[in-house]
Amino acid sequence: MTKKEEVAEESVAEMQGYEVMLILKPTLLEAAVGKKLKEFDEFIKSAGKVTAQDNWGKRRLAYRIKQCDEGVYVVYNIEIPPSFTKEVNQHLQIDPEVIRHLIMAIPEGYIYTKFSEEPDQEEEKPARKAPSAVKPRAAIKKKEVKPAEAPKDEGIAPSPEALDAKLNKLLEGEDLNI
Amino acid sequence: MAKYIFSTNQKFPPGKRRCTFCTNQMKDIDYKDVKTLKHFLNAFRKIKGHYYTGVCLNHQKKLSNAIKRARHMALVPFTN
Repeated sequence: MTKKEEVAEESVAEMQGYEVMLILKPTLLEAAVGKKLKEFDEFIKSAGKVTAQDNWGKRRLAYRIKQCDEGVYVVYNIEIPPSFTKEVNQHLQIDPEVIRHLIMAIPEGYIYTKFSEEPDQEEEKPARKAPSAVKPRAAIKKKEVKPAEAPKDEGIAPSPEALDAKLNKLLEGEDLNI
Repeated sequence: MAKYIFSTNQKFPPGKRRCTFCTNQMKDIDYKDVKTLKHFLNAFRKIKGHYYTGVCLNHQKKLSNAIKRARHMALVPFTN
Protein backbone atom coordinates (compact mmCIF):
# COMPACT_ATOMS: atom_id res chain seq x y z
CA MET A 1 0.00 0.00 0.00
CA THR A 2 2.74 2.42 0.92
CA LYS A 3 4.50 1.78 -2.37
CA LYS A 4 1.36 2.46 -4.36
CA GLU A 5 0.75 5.69 -2.52
CA GLU A 6 4.29 6.81 -3.18
CA VAL A 7 3.94 6.05 -6.87
CA ALA A 8 0.68 7.99 -7.03
CA GLU A 9 2.26 10.99 -5.33
CA GLU A 10 5.24 10.92 -7.67
CA SER A 11 3.07 10.73 -10.76
CA VAL A 12 1.13 13.77 -9.60
CA ALA A 13 4.29 15.69 -8.87
CA GLU A 14 6.29 14.63 -11.93
CA MET A 15 5.43 16.36 -15.15
CA GLN A 16 6.65 15.27 -18.53
CA GLY A 17 6.76 17.19 -21.76
CA TYR A 18 4.55 15.95 -24.59
CA GLU A 19 3.92 17.12 -28.09
CA VAL A 20 0.40 16.86 -29.45
CA MET A 21 -0.39 17.36 -33.13
CA LEU A 22 -3.96 17.67 -34.37
CA ILE A 23 -5.49 17.76 -37.82
CA LEU A 24 -8.86 19.54 -37.82
CA LYS A 25 -11.48 19.44 -40.54
CA PRO A 26 -10.93 22.00 -43.34
CA THR A 27 -14.62 22.95 -43.40
CA LEU A 28 -14.35 24.64 -39.98
CA LEU A 29 -14.35 28.44 -39.92
CA GLU A 30 -11.61 30.37 -38.15
CA ALA A 31 -13.83 31.24 -35.20
CA ALA A 32 -14.82 27.59 -34.80
CA VAL A 33 -11.15 26.57 -34.84
CA GLY A 34 -10.37 29.16 -32.17
CA LYS A 35 -13.21 27.87 -30.01
CA LYS A 36 -12.03 24.28 -30.40
CA LEU A 37 -8.47 25.16 -29.40
CA LYS A 38 -9.68 27.15 -26.39
CA GLU A 39 -11.63 24.14 -25.20
CA PHE A 40 -8.58 21.93 -25.61
CA ASP A 41 -6.45 24.49 -23.74
CA GLU A 42 -8.83 24.47 -20.79
CA PHE A 43 -8.99 20.68 -20.82
CA ILE A 44 -5.20 20.43 -20.54
CA LYS A 45 -4.90 23.20 -17.97
CA SER A 46 -7.05 21.11 -15.62
CA ALA A 47 -4.10 18.74 -15.16
CA GLY A 48 -1.00 20.50 -16.49
CA LYS A 49 0.06 23.48 -18.56
CA VAL A 50 0.61 24.54 -22.16
CA THR A 51 4.16 25.64 -23.02
CA ALA A 52 3.71 26.31 -26.75
CA GLN A 53 0.93 26.48 -29.29
CA ASP A 54 1.34 26.82 -33.03
CA ASN A 55 -1.28 26.96 -35.75
CA TRP A 56 0.14 25.98 -39.14
CA GLY A 57 -3.04 26.85 -41.00
CA LYS A 58 -4.59 24.92 -43.86
CA ARG A 59 -2.29 22.42 -45.56
CA ARG A 60 -2.68 19.76 -48.21
CA LEU A 61 -2.67 16.21 -46.92
CA ALA A 62 -0.40 13.61 -48.50
CA TYR A 63 -3.39 11.29 -48.82
CA ARG A 64 -7.11 11.45 -48.24
CA ILE A 65 -8.41 11.06 -44.69
CA LYS A 66 -12.17 10.76 -44.06
CA GLN A 67 -13.04 12.34 -47.43
CA CYS A 68 -10.81 15.37 -46.73
CA ASP A 69 -7.98 16.51 -49.01
CA GLU A 70 -6.94 19.37 -46.72
CA GLY A 71 -6.56 19.85 -43.00
CA VAL A 72 -5.80 22.49 -40.37
CA TYR A 73 -2.59 21.53 -38.54
CA VAL A 74 -2.11 22.57 -34.92
CA VAL A 75 0.90 21.70 -32.74
CA TYR A 76 0.91 21.83 -28.94
CA ASN A 77 3.76 21.45 -26.49
CA ILE A 78 2.34 20.57 -23.08
CA GLU A 79 3.46 19.39 -19.69
CA ILE A 80 1.20 16.83 -18.02
CA PRO A 81 1.61 13.84 -15.72
CA PRO A 82 2.10 10.63 -17.75
CA SER A 83 -1.13 9.09 -16.42
CA PHE A 84 -3.16 11.90 -18.03
CA THR A 85 -2.17 10.98 -21.61
CA LYS A 86 -4.87 8.30 -21.77
CA GLU A 87 -7.56 10.87 -21.11
CA VAL A 88 -6.13 13.24 -23.71
CA ASN A 89 -6.14 10.41 -26.22
CA GLN A 90 -9.78 9.57 -25.44
CA HIS A 91 -10.79 13.22 -25.58
CA LEU A 92 -9.33 13.54 -29.09
CA GLN A 93 -10.65 10.20 -30.33
CA ILE A 94 -14.23 11.06 -29.44
CA ASP A 95 -14.09 14.47 -31.15
CA PRO A 96 -15.61 14.27 -34.66
CA GLU A 97 -13.88 17.47 -35.86
CA VAL A 98 -10.39 16.10 -35.20
CA ILE A 99 -9.43 13.96 -38.17
CA ARG A 100 -6.17 12.69 -36.77
CA HIS A 101 -3.94 13.24 -33.75
CA LEU A 102 -0.55 12.24 -32.39
CA ILE A 103 0.80 12.30 -28.83
CA MET A 104 4.55 12.00 -28.45
CA ALA A 105 6.99 12.31 -25.54
CA ILE A 106 9.51 15.11 -26.12
CA PRO A 107 13.21 14.14 -26.09
CA GLU A 108 15.66 15.97 -23.82
CA GLY A 109 16.96 19.34 -24.91
CA TYR A 110 14.21 19.92 -27.44
CA ILE A 111 13.29 23.53 -28.25
CA TYR A 112 10.23 24.23 -30.34
CA THR A 113 10.58 26.83 -33.09
CA LYS A 114 7.42 28.17 -34.64
CA PHE A 115 6.47 27.13 -38.15
CA SER A 116 6.28 30.73 -39.41
CA GLU A 117 9.73 31.60 -38.01
CA GLU A 118 11.59 28.87 -39.84
CA PRO A 119 14.10 30.05 -42.43
CA ASP A 120 13.35 29.44 -46.13
CA GLN A 121 11.09 26.42 -46.10
CA GLU A 122 10.94 25.92 -49.85
CA GLU A 123 13.96 27.77 -51.20
CA GLU A 124 16.52 25.63 -49.41
CA LYS A 125 18.91 23.90 -51.77
CA PRO A 126 22.04 22.89 -49.87
CA ALA A 127 25.49 21.96 -51.23
CA ARG A 128 24.87 22.78 -54.89
CA LYS A 129 24.32 26.51 -54.31
CA ALA A 130 27.76 26.97 -52.76
CA PRO A 131 29.71 27.83 -55.98
CA SER A 132 27.05 30.29 -57.13
CA ALA A 133 27.11 31.96 -53.71
CA VAL A 134 30.83 32.80 -54.07
CA LYS A 135 30.42 34.90 -57.21
CA PRO A 136 28.12 37.60 -55.84
CA ARG A 137 30.39 38.03 -52.84
CA ALA A 138 33.32 38.89 -55.13
CA ALA A 139 31.10 41.28 -57.09
CA ILE A 140 30.01 43.00 -53.88
CA LYS A 141 33.60 43.44 -52.76
CA LYS A 142 34.55 45.12 -56.03
CA LYS A 143 31.54 47.39 -55.80
CA GLU A 144 32.38 48.29 -52.25
CA VAL A 145 35.93 49.34 -53.14
CA LYS A 146 34.93 51.84 -55.84
CA PRO A 147 32.56 54.02 -53.78
CA ALA A 148 34.99 53.89 -50.86
CA GLU A 149 37.67 55.63 -52.96
CA ALA A 150 35.40 58.37 -54.28
CA PRO A 151 34.33 59.90 -50.95
CA LYS A 152 37.96 59.91 -49.76
CA ASP A 153 38.93 62.28 -52.61
CA GLU A 154 36.01 64.52 -51.81
CA GLY A 155 36.87 64.42 -48.16
CA ILE A 156 40.51 65.47 -48.70
CA ALA A 157 39.79 68.33 -51.15
CA PRO A 158 37.69 70.63 -48.93
CA SER A 159 39.52 69.69 -45.77
CA PRO A 160 42.40 72.31 -45.72
CA GLU A 161 40.05 75.26 -46.05
CA ALA A 162 37.61 73.91 -43.53
CA LEU A 163 40.41 73.07 -41.12
CA ASP A 164 41.83 76.58 -41.39
CA ALA A 165 38.45 78.09 -40.66
CA LYS A 166 37.99 75.81 -37.69
CA LEU A 167 41.42 76.63 -36.31
CA ASN A 168 40.78 80.34 -36.62
CA LYS A 169 37.48 79.98 -34.82
CA LEU A 170 39.08 78.02 -32.02
CA LEU A 171 41.94 80.50 -31.62
CA GLU A 172 39.63 83.49 -31.65
CA GLY A 173 36.91 82.07 -29.52
CA GLU A 174 38.77 80.51 -26.63
CA ASP A 175 41.85 81.34 -24.56
CA LEU A 176 44.22 78.44 -24.55
CA ASN A 177 46.05 77.66 -21.35
CA ILE A 178 49.16 75.69 -22.11
CA MET B 1 11.60 21.89 -35.70
CA ALA B 2 15.14 22.87 -36.08
CA LYS B 3 16.98 23.70 -39.22
CA TYR B 4 19.21 20.88 -40.29
CA ILE B 5 22.27 20.98 -42.49
CA PHE B 6 22.27 18.09 -44.88
CA SER B 7 24.97 16.85 -47.19
CA THR B 8 24.73 13.82 -49.40
CA ASN B 9 27.99 11.94 -49.31
CA GLN B 10 27.81 10.56 -52.82
CA LYS B 11 31.55 10.62 -53.36
CA PHE B 12 31.99 7.51 -51.23
CA PRO B 13 30.85 4.13 -52.59
CA PRO B 14 27.84 2.47 -50.91
CA GLY B 15 28.88 0.67 -47.77
CA LYS B 16 31.57 3.24 -46.95
CA ARG B 17 29.35 6.31 -46.55
CA ARG B 18 29.36 8.25 -43.28
CA CYS B 19 26.31 8.93 -41.15
CA THR B 20 25.14 12.50 -41.87
CA PHE B 21 23.40 12.78 -38.51
CA CYS B 22 26.58 11.85 -36.64
CA THR B 23 28.70 14.32 -38.61
CA ASN B 24 26.22 17.15 -37.95
CA GLN B 25 25.91 16.10 -34.29
CA MET B 26 22.15 15.67 -34.29
CA LYS B 27 20.88 13.55 -31.43
CA ASP B 28 17.21 13.36 -32.36
CA ILE B 29 15.38 13.44 -35.66
CA ASP B 30 12.17 15.43 -35.88
CA TYR B 31 9.18 14.01 -37.74
CA LYS B 32 7.99 17.51 -38.65
CA ASP B 33 10.81 18.58 -40.95
CA VAL B 34 9.95 16.78 -44.14
CA LYS B 35 12.96 18.27 -45.99
CA THR B 36 15.47 15.96 -44.33
CA LEU B 37 13.19 12.93 -44.32
CA LYS B 38 12.75 13.16 -48.10
CA HIS B 39 16.43 12.38 -48.67
CA PHE B 40 15.92 8.95 -47.12
CA LEU B 41 12.86 7.97 -49.15
CA ASN B 42 12.67 6.06 -52.40
CA ALA B 43 10.88 7.14 -55.58
CA PHE B 44 8.13 4.82 -54.33
CA ARG B 45 8.42 6.55 -50.91
CA LYS B 46 9.84 3.52 -49.20
CA ILE B 47 12.60 3.89 -46.63
CA LYS B 48 16.05 3.45 -48.16
CA GLY B 49 18.42 0.93 -46.65
CA HIS B 50 21.23 2.24 -44.50
CA TYR B 51 23.73 0.52 -46.81
CA TYR B 52 22.94 3.14 -49.48
CA THR B 53 22.49 6.21 -47.27
CA GLY B 54 25.28 5.53 -44.77
CA VAL B 55 23.15 6.19 -41.70
CA CYS B 56 24.38 4.41 -38.58
CA LEU B 57 22.09 1.86 -36.92
CA ASN B 58 21.42 4.08 -33.93
CA HIS B 59 20.13 6.89 -36.15
CA GLN B 60 18.40 4.55 -38.62
CA LYS B 61 16.09 3.43 -35.83
CA LYS B 62 15.18 7.03 -34.98
CA LEU B 63 14.82 7.92 -38.66
CA SER B 64 12.38 5.10 -39.38
CA ASN B 65 10.38 6.12 -36.31
CA ALA B 66 10.24 9.72 -37.50
CA ILE B 67 9.18 8.72 -41.03
CA LYS B 68 6.42 6.50 -39.69
CA ARG B 69 5.12 9.34 -37.55
CA ALA B 70 5.19 11.70 -40.52
CA ARG B 71 3.24 9.15 -42.56
CA HIS B 72 0.62 8.86 -39.86
CA MET B 73 0.12 12.63 -39.85
CA ALA B 74 -0.10 12.76 -43.67
CA LEU B 75 3.06 14.88 -44.05
CA VAL B 76 4.64 12.15 -46.18
CA PRO B 77 2.74 9.65 -48.35
CA PHE B 78 2.82 5.91 -47.70
CA THR B 79 3.23 5.09 -51.39
CA ASN B 80 3.53 6.95 -54.64
